[in-house]
Amino acid sequence: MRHQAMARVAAPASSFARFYGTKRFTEEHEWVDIENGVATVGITDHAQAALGEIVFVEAAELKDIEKGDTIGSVESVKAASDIYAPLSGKVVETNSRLGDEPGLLNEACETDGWLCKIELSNEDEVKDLLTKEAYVKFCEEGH
Amino acid sequence: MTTPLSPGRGIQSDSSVRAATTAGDNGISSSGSAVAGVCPTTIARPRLSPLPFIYLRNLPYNRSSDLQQLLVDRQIRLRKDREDQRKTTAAAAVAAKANLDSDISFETPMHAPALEEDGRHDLLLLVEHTPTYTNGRRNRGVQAISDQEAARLRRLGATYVESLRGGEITFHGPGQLVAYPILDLKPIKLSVRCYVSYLEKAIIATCAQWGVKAITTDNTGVWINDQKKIAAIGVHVQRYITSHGLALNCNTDLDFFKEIVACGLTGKETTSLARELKSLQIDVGRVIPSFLKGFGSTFNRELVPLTETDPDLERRIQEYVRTGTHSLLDV
Repeated sequence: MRHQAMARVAAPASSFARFYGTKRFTEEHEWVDIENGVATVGITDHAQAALGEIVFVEAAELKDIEKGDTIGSVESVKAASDIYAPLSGKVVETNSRLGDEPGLLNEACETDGWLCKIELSNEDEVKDLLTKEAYVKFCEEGH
Repeated sequence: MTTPLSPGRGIQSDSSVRAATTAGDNGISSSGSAVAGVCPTTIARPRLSPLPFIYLRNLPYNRSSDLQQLLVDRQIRLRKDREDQRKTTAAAAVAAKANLDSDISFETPMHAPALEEDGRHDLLLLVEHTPTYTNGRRNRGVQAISDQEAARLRRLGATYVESLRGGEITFHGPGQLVAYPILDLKPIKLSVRCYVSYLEKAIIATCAQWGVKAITTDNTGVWINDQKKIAAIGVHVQRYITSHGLALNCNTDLDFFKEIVACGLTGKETTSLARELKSLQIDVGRVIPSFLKGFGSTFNRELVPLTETDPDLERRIQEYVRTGTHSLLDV
């Protein structure tokens, strides 16, 4: 299952979905990158800055989840902050590098520091996510 | 994720975090205090509600964790209700305007009740626990201490509990003032990092009232010097709502700390206000007024007893503490 999901995400950028598939965001300061029905999820650069030095990442469990469920947490400066599923589906993979290198979230949270991959069960939910412009505006409003 | 940010601080805090991380890579310890400089110097919201507090003595740790979770769920639900109400009001206003435009006379909708976020459901729990060793989120389950070690701690007369807060193993017990602020970080516009820094400031302000000079160091918490820690911090944040918090040693039996590597820091010791001032009379009851003052001035909030602001909630909390059954989510 892990490898299948990986292969799908790593597929060449040929489909319309890839072309169309840009990042979306949540008000919980997560980013979502969707390709072929699988969403890669991470926290935004704004989020890592607000958290401070990240020392521990609690990985999501590989299981079915509903949008809004807790999928692990990140810990910085003695504070554990819950992460919430931006979309419903099944967690098919978590980023194993974060176990040994939680600091990757400070250094590269929007690329190598992704948190998990979710096989979506309801792609309609994607339309509720924020575009980059809307998310930037949301941050500028002081959130 | 629950990480509110103030406008215009993104870039600045960004580079600070990077700088701290790089310093850590070079073997120089990075710290929360290194980035604390970019936190706002005051909470710039003059219209925040007064913050009610309640003091609960001899509270078993598990009951306090469950109580906090109920209060967090309650806050999240109440905030959601207000958001929904705001949307309904906005829609009604649009509809009313449309009606006016079409020249049909309708009564202008009543002004919505004050719905802006002002922290009105925030609450400060002050607690003195029965003896308990607690471990932090990263040390739960398979990563926790061995059964033998847990049994050894229990033989000391304490319970052992795994918690959802940040941080590592610590001790709570009589003589220690534990504060659990259940705060919405959105209206006070504090990031998680700055919130923790504010907790440290509140503790330092409390110690100062007793003539004890306390400081922050590279390790989160409040210290007398590099070696001696007087207060520990461990926080949980869910959808911008904080729980868990801080533990300040007033006249705690410090021998309990000798049985563990507190907060995972080898070679450090724990102290208390009583030890620093060489007076065992400094108990939690005497420290609470100074803590309320220190917390209030740091967070720019007026503190009032919950019995005055919401006697019904006070009654429901007391009932839960006593019986374990609750009606806290009936709002």
